[in-house]
Amino acid sequence: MSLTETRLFSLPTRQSPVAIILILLRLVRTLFRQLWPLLLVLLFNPRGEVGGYITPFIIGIAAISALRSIISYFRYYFYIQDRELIIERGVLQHTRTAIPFDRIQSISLNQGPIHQLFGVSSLDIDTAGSSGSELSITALSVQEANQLRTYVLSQRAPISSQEVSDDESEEEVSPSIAPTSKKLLLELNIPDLLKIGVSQNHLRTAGILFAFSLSVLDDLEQVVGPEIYKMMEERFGEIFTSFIWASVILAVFFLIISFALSLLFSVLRNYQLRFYRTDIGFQMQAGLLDRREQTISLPKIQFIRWSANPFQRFFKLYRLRLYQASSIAVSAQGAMTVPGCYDAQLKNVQEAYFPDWSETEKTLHGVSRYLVRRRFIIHGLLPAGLFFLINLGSPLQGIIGGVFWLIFSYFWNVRYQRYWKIWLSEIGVEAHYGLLTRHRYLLHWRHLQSTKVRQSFIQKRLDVADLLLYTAAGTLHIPYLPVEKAKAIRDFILYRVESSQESWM
Amino acid sequence: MEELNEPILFSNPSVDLSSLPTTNTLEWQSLAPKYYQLNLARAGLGSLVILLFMVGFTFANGMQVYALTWIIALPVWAILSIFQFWIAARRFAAEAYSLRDRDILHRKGVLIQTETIIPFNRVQHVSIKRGPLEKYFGLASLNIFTAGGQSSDLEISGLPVQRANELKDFIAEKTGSDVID
Repeated sequence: MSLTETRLFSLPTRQSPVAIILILLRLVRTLFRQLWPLLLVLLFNPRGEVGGYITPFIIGIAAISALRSIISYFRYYFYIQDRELIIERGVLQHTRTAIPFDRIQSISLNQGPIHQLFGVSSLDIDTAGSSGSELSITALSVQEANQLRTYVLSQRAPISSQEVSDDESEEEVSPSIAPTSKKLLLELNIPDLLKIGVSQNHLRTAGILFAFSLSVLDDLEQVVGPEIYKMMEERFGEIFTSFIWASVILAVFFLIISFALSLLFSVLRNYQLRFYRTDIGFQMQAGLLDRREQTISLPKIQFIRWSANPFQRFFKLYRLRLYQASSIAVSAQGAMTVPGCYDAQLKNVQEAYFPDWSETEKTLHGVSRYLVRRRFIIHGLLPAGLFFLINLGSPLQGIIGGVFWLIFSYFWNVRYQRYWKIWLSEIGVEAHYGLLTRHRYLLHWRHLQSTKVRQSFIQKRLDVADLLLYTAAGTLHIPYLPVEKAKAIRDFILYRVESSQESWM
Repeated sequence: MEELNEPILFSNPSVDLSSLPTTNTLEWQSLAPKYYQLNLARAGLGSLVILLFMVGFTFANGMQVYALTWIIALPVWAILSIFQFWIAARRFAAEAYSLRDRDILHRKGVLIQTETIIPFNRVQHVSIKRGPLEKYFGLASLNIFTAGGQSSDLEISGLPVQRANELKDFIAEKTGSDVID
């Protein structure tokens, strides 16, 4: 790092002027989100009584917003002093935030459409504090943003290399350098994107869409009044002559729309996805409208999990997530998600996280057959009983439906239990579970924080227990192990964690 | 069919597994006898609140509640209260902690029993918490935090204040971690 760069950020620096536009847009978006029912009333006001106030009102709001954006641009400075990144900001109230380099977990560059248009990028800084401690710089020229990130990460590195140096695990490259050289592992082309889009969970999108349309209807009802339902009934009444037809048509409609939507969103989100192996870990860039970039360093990866639903298995795709320790660890944001990758990339990540896993001696274990019983009661007996109760009017239908479900549920859960597989070794564990969507995770014992053996009073009678493994990026569990085995595994892991100096990060 | 449920834990283990410390032969420390009273007091307060709520509901309806409602509601309340007291009484026997050279153990739970172990080299910080009822009974809770998030944090309640302080200092010294009062 040259001295000039150090000097570059030692003086209070403003953001790129593009920030004014971005701040303004953000204000407008917030205002619109708050006031849209009101605006709707004003625009479609049937009586036109308040029409005269609209124009000055909107002009007033626009002027205040514009002024506010400009002031907040001129009041925003950042600089580097004594290994701390300092941000000063505030329109009415002045705030000064100092973030020590060592507390910075990761810095990611994100570009929305306007960022891309003007060649700027936002800088989001995640710190190791409590949640909500993320800070961001709205707009910075891409070159400056990269300089700042490289500088901060390179200054931080000596500390983390100390942490790693008393680590027994082998680092291929010294982590004291910021990500300078990187190797492209994966670049998604259009066919890949389509495959990933098609194999999304469309049912989830349908659910979100359904909830969204309900809430919009609710808002509309508040604005327009209950006539909305009458209006809809008049328009669509003839099609919906019977309830069953209406629900079938609605369901198909929702499925088609949600298929199209999740395909579209997936393509937009993952457009030109590039996944790199860097000196210190992994990096991912993706997105068409919102271009985002995420970096994750190897020691921070606590465990990895990958899954494939039937469609993804057909395409030989995996959804891979790298879980990192961070202030937002427990939420989904703490993880780096590669929505679609192939065997080669998966192997690469596994090898980086857990160098000799494939050669390690492992023993295979399953979970207790009592798990079938538990799942059969919850997923089989309960719904079947409910179905029977609902159909008390026509008992035959209730019995046939219930019995059919019971048989299906039994065989499903027998297979589910058989599919739970745990490969145990002295340095870590790999587990497979799930029938439709198959999940796998890989955990090195050194990332373990604490353990719990849990038994309900029923499990106690059956002599089985759940084993919970807590890491700084979330909890992994293994259900229904014979209690002696659960405790033996626990005792061994603790022995490993307590007798070694390996740090968890 | 692959062979599942192998009797051995690891093939060719590097340590003698039977020589590892287990929790089966452990000496568990039980909690202060006053903790038993605290649990009962909590259960009593709980059922009192439910009863007050029921009476309040009756008044809010202008006493227009049929006797039948109370004939059903009172036994339900009684059963719930008995259940609460039963759990509270059992809880005391179920809870215990133990210190080993390199970790701290805590077991608790009546219906769902858990046994948590936190290695000292993963402790982030320790703190002591005292609620109004605990203050009345002269008790304190010890909280032990790891980086594993809320669900992995440990709370040992029902400790005499002095004991809690000793434990806090002991763990802080063992881990070199922060103490937060």
